[in-house]
Amino acid sequence: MQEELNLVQRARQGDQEAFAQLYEAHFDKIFRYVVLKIRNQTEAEDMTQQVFIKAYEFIGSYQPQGVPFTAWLFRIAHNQMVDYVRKESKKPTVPLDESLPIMDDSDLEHDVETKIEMEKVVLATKQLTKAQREVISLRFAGGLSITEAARTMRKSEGAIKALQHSAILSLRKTLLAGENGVK
Amino acid sequence: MSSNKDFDNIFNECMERLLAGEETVGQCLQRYPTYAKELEPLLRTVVLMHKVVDVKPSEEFRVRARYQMQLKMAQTAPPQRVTRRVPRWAIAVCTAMLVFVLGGAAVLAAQNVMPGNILYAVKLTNETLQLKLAGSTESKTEQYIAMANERIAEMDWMVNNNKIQNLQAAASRLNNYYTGIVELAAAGSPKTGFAAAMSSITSSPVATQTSTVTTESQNAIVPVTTPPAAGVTYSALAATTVLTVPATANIATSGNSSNLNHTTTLLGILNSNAAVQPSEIQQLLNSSKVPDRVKATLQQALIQSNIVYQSAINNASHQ
Repeated sequence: MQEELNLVQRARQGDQEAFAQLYEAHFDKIFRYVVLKIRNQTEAEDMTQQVFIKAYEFIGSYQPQGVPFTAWLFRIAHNQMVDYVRKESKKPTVPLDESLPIMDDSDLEHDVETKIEMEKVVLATKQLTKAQREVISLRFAGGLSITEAARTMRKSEGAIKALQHSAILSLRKTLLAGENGVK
Repeated sequence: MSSNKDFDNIFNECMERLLAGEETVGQCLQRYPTYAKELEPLLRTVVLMHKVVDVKPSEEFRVRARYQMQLKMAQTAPPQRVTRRVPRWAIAVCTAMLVFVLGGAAVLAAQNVMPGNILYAVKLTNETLQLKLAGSTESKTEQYIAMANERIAEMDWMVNNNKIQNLQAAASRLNNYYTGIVELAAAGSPKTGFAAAMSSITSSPVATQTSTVTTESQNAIVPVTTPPAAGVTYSALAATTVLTVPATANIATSGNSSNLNHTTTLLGILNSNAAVQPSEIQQLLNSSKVPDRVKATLQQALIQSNIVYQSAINNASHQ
């Protein structure tokens, strides 16, 4: 934590090496968070890049006292997605089965299984409230701690824990109902 | 059921340990036998979620993204609280020099590579850079068309060489380029040539993907005759969709001669590609080697290309 603070401090003063380290540390998490929310690999790749470009452009004015760096970065990603969804709502819908990411470095059978499971989970998350969905995305895809998720969503840690509990419970019910309903 | 703070804390503690790989579901249940019945299904769901969301960026994207970030850093002065505005031409010159000096060889080598090659990321980055450096709407549109040509050629190569794993990405990019052209036209000033010529399409029924049939003589009709691939569920892009492109805009009504020249050149480029790109996309759609999910994206690209080219042809004929 202290190490990240030091990196952020250096990056704010224009140290590109420090920013590069922050980039490497958060790149996968941001991509995962974005791709699972918008479910389109090509768009998610573009958006992930935009998040870091924006972070680089604005890190000089970022105030660590206000919000932790991770929370700040995820807020940028969240805002990018809100813009994206607004634009996408004016376009034709993308078929669900072509939008989920395909992993490059694993075998096809595993990919397909993962994709099917991911599809089920994604569909189940649609039953959640907006806040529950955000907590799940931040905690699982983004890998944020309760504290970081709380700062990102501007809620108390207790509220995040309660949302997390109710979200998992709801997901469990939806997934079970799906399994029972198929056959 | 105990949905109180204690349970939330216990559940969260178990979840943290599970996600960190420090504990199994069974070990957690042993520590909290009173809550075991309630905890178990939740923790099993957590394990499933954790497994499912373990998505990683592709290596190609990682390389490309890193390269673009480095370019961004090289282009701009280190971030400071008080920033000085750098003229766009200066950024363009510096970037071009940087690419030429540091990455010129790689960029040159990457020009003809195909997806799957380690230098492909450099090729894409170079194209994107050229797009960003293109100043006018016309130049950007030209670059989009050039990029579309590249993607079509790559897809053709992939299909002929049975290397279809990157087809979807290429098809999505192709579709995005046409969207980019339409958005450029929509964003441009209605008084400039190309924007005026293209602006009609953004207010046409096509923009909202409403399938419409028209018999008005001043409207161009672009039938999409390709049947959708089996199993493809793109409802908005049904096989019988007929698109209408109002051909009422008159280009360069109040622009200066430079605008007119630019627009005339661009319309020439659009016209010469109008006969080629849509038919090449059609050929890809006809190929049995192209998976259905890719065809759905190609179908969208075909429709968008028809919109772009048909609009340009109509407006050229009204000059």
